[in-house]
Amino acid sequence: MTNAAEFRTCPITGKKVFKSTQNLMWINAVTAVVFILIGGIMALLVALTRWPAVHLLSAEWFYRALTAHGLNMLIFWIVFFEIAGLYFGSSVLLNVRLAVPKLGWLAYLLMLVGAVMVDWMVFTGKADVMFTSYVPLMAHPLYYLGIILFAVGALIGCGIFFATWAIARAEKTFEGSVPLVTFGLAAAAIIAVFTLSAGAIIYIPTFLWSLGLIKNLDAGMYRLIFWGLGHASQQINVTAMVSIWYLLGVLTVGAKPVNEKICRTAFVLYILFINLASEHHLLTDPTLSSAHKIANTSYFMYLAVLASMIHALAIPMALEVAQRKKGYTKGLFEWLTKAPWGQPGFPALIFSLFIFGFIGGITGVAYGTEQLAIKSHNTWAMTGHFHGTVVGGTTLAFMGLTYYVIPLIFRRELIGKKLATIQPYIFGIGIVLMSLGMGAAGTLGSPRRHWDVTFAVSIIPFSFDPTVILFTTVAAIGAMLAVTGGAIYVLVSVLSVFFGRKMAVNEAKLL
Amino acid sequence: MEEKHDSFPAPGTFVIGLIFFTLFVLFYFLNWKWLSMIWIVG
Repeated sequence: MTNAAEFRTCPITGKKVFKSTQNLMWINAVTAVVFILIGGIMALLVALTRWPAVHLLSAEWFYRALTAHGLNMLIFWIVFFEIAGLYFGSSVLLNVRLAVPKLGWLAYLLMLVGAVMVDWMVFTGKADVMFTSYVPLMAHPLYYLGIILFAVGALIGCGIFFATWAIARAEKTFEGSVPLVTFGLAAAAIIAVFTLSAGAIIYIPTFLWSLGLIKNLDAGMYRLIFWGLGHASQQINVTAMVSIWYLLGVLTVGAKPVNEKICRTAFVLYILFINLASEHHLLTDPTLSSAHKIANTSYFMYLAVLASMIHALAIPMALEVAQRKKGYTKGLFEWLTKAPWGQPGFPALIFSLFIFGFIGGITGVAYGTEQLAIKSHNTWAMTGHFHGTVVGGTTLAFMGLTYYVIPLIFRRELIGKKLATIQPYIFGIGIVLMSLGMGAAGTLGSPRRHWDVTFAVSIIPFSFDPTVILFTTVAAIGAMLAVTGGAIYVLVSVLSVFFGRKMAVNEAKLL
Repeated sequence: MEEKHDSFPAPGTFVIGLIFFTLFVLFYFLNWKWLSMIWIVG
């Protein structure tokens, strides 16, 4: 066990990096990569089954792989990475030791045991309930217990973030306001507390129901509270992703927001309004009144959209101002064409920003409107939307940051820098093709979560417009590219973390 | 400290914003149009 007060000073940023923080970041980030590997393999299997030309898995294994894909990607990969991010945003950026590192290890163990239990139940066929596990579908009790343990572990991680911030304030390790990145991560952590609490509120009775201790669970009530976890967990991702965008802006071109107060206000708008997006899952349910749905999704929801618009313009603006200061002032876009496209962080940032905004954002606002949700809700277009936000947006931003965290925090030189440089391009182009293919096929009626869109063995035959198959093929090709990009990411990060050259304490080299 | 600028410091971002807004309006309009075609009222 390391001494909690042991630290080194980063030769690039001048920040203190405490050994205990570094170790906890390392274990959480490495574990995140293991789960993206599992989720990525499942993505490949799902994509090759949705593609009618291949149609790889049986129906049983398709839904099993889809369940595992959703959980490993949406929850395990992202939350492990976010916990590493919270420790970075508090301890490293605020120049202070991490509060109660031993509790950090307990949080990690709870999350790991929970995630392994969930995967074990899914892969042994005891939890074919999809990511949503809608009642009355019932999984093995250990599945629900696994999710509860994971959520408790993540909640402890959020608590450590706030406790570390409190120590930093008490010990005056920073001056003025906290850095914008830490502020954004705090917003993410606050949303996480609401989200994980909703998870506990619904999964504890569901766990008891699976044990036979509760006789009935109302399906409408389950859906209402579940989406306080299910969609809201993606709002944690959005908020963490935006924080990482600001960080990547600093790391790649030295960008600083033109008006930080507005950016902070946008994070506050996220805290207050972003979870209203969860309601779009209930737009076709009778649980809530039409007046409630319209008021929330056609009016208040736009305050969160406003926040995203502020960030989406503040970040490219910061990049442009920083680049123009360096002399790239010709025309409208020299700042962009002369940007460091040869560093992995910059294309990862730009693709993440643009895919999130242009694909995930535009479709999300449209499909989140009550009347339009009626048309799109259970189609593949919705899957195209959230692959634009969570994969093209969040995952790509996290991937870009990894290439800086490895040398900066883990003090290992990257292995395969050229591969790392092309990785965001391959992954980004793949996600664009996949999301657009899903969106187009879904708009023509192709259902989401469906094993066979040709309905070849259905009792009632049905055939879509042939262009659905064309767009499904486009989505499948995109998925293959994205999986290739994901595999390169796993390869480069694992090789670098374990076999990369150890950097000297004072070696000031980023990439 | 936030910096002061004499003129708008990011014209390229402004153009990107306009492109984004145009696509958003177009997509939003198309979705309402498609809804009106699927669900004919009156």
